[in-house]
Amino acid sequence: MRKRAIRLRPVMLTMAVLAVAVALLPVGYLAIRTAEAGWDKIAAELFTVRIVRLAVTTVSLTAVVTAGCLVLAVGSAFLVVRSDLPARRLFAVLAVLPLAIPTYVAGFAWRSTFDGFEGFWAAALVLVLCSYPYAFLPVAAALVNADPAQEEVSLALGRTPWQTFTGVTLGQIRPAIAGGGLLVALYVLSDFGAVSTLRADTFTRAVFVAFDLGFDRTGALVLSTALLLLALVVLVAENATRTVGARHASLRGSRRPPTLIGLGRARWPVAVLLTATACLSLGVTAVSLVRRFAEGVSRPRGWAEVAEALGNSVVLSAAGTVLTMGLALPIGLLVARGPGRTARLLDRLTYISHALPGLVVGLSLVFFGINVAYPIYQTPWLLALGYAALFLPLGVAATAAAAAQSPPVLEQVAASLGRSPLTVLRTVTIPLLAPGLGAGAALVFLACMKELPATLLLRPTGTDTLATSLWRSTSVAAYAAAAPYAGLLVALSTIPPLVLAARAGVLQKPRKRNRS
Amino acid sequence: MNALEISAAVKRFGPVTALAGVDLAVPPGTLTAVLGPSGCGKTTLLRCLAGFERLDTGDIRLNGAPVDGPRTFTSPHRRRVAIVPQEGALFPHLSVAGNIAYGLPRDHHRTTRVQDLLTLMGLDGMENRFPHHLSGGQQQRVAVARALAPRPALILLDEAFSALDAGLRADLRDDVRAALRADGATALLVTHDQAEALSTADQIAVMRAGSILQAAPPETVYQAPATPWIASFVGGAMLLPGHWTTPTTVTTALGTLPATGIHTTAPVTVMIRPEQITLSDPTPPPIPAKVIDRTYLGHSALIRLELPDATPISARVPPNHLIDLGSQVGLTVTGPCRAWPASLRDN
Repeated sequence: MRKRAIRLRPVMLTMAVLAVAVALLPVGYLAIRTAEAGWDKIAAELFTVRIVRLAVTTVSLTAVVTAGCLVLAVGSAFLVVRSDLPARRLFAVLAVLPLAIPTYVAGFAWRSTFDGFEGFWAAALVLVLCSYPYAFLPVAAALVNADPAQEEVSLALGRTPWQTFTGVTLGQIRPAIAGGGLLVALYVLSDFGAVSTLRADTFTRAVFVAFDLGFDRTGALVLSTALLLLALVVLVAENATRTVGARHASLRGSRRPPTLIGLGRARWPVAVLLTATACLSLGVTAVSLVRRFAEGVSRPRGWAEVAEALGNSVVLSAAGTVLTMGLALPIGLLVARGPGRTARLLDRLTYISHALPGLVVGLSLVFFGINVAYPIYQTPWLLALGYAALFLPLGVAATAAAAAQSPPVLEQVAASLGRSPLTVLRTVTIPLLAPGLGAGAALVFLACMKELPATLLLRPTGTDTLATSLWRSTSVAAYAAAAPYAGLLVALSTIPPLVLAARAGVLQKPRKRNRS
Repeated sequence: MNALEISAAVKRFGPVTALAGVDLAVPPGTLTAVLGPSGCGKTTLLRCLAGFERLDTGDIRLNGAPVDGPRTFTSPHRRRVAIVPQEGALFPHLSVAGNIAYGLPRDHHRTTRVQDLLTLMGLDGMENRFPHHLSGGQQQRVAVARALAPRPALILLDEAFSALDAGLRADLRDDVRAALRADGATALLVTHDQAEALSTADQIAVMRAGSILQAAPPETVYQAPATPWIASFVGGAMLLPGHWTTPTTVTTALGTLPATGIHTTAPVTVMIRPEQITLSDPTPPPIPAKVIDRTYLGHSALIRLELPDATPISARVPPNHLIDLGSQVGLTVTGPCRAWPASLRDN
């Protein structure tokens, strides 16, 4: 039977188009400026050996890091959710905490710990260790929610556990793997922290160098456009792996938690392996920060400045989160409730800016602020707009996932009881969405706190955040002064990943395996 | 005035005609069961009544006021038509009391009404529980109470009992029936379960391929089905070929039997219910038959027999009536049967 979404759709569609327009502001800027440069100049910049070399490095780095993250994420998620690993919940927490470490902090920590740690493989290692939680979270959530009955049927039909894993389980979590892979790939394309601290020559670093040197705007624009095209390729590739699946949570009964797989003699070696991973992803940075911190806050009035930066970080990130979630809500609802080509296209479009380096987004909004929206230039709202353009997909994905928790039948029941569409939205839809929206907001807040290049460009003059203060200190080699900012930033950033892990269900009390 | 009147309702989805001209009237304070096999259009009818779909042509009136027609369409929240979905669909973020009160205005009657409904549905003391702490049957009781609360013009029950196990279902059905009566509510129950329709409804509307074939009290639908198809769909029946011998008797493979129906000279289809057949000793044989199979049903047993000309016959007998497969028995038919022109065989 065909079902129609009658109410609110035109309103939602209009709001979604507006939100996407905001997200696409930087792309518009790129298009305008690149067109201004003229074809000859573009061609001269584009067809060079250097571009080819940058492209090869960027693509290889993206591929290596994405593959590494997926192996690490699927492996650790499966062990944490489905095996009788000791201290499973602790390992779940350790697997999401790297989200709290900005790549420029990690890159810096590694380089200051190991002499000569730089280049392609160094950047790849640090990026894998910092960004695998982006894939771990969705994959673990999918494993928690997968129907164990399907696996039981497969086992009962005589398939081995390995055949069941590859034939059934991987099929169930494939959308989560693809989604996680997409996030990681786009993150790597736009990452600036690791590649600049560890000196890997990618497009993002080249864009930054070109802009920083000041005289090569066209070069920077062409590089940014090339990066944008790479992001489009990733988006199309991920789209091709998608299949239509159930979109709404079942209302019936409670699902049984999956039975845990016994690791037997491998139990402790596996635990040691996961501990080693955590040591690399968290330990190196933590030890380095503590060592710097022990050297003391080197300047007077240090703590007052730190406190002020902390306040600014929280206020600016909060503004960015509010705006991002506000824009994400109509798109997410549209994706979950009125699926179709339009909704899908709008959803995909939000990812384009996500793949742009924060620097490009920052510059495009400076241009936009000066020429179009002068009243908000030099106010926190322009920075909030920058955050929204960068992090909209995070909010959309969270909203769409949350909307799936509120099946349309509940809204129909509410309407049949005489409640107007707006009242239904307020009393049924929003309350049911709230936890999911909260988790999405936590993720966006975290991203805003860690964001550096756009913040540097768009913050009101004289406003320092934890990230910008940290950057300033490290760039003048005031490592000891940088430590409190880095420590606070990381400490504050640990809260959202914990919220997300709890939401994904990976922190639930493990159920003992039924041996009867 | 009828609480609900549907006339010539048509609804198409592309090439599929879900409702092909439905007519139905529901008197106030009664329960009508819309009974039909899957895919007959009963769910579409329900969605049109609730206002989730709009009719292509035809109209719907509630207490005389049009809510769907060529020039009117009342949106779901202004119709005063409450639904009870199959799976209950309680609001997971609200307590039992919160769910029941959802459709009530915020005034001083609110608490009293919620308490009354809790008592009516046998949910006393559960007002602070949350849906995930309730059993399936309790969830369904809350869903019914929630629909009753604002005293809607019409309550739609969409296969509301089919997800529950048999014992629970009968209890809940009786309680819901009693609660609807006590509250004076008008309700429409969509179901594919004929036992449910026969035992619960004041009126049964038998639906097939987008049309209502017969709308009548359960006794009439069972004893005087409008078509042979209804006869076999509701309650199970044997349909035998025959012809009228006198204006009140037909002759079939089971002999000449008293019958009702329109007397013609054309061949007829004759309906005989299994409970009209009684078994006796084969000597002297009234009508001889061979026992083929026996299905034990607890409260009765169904015997499958074969006449000498291989016509299959079913007979309902007391459960302790023991009989050997393959043995010969004699049949007697009691009570009148019903006859239709044979041309209506498949209708």
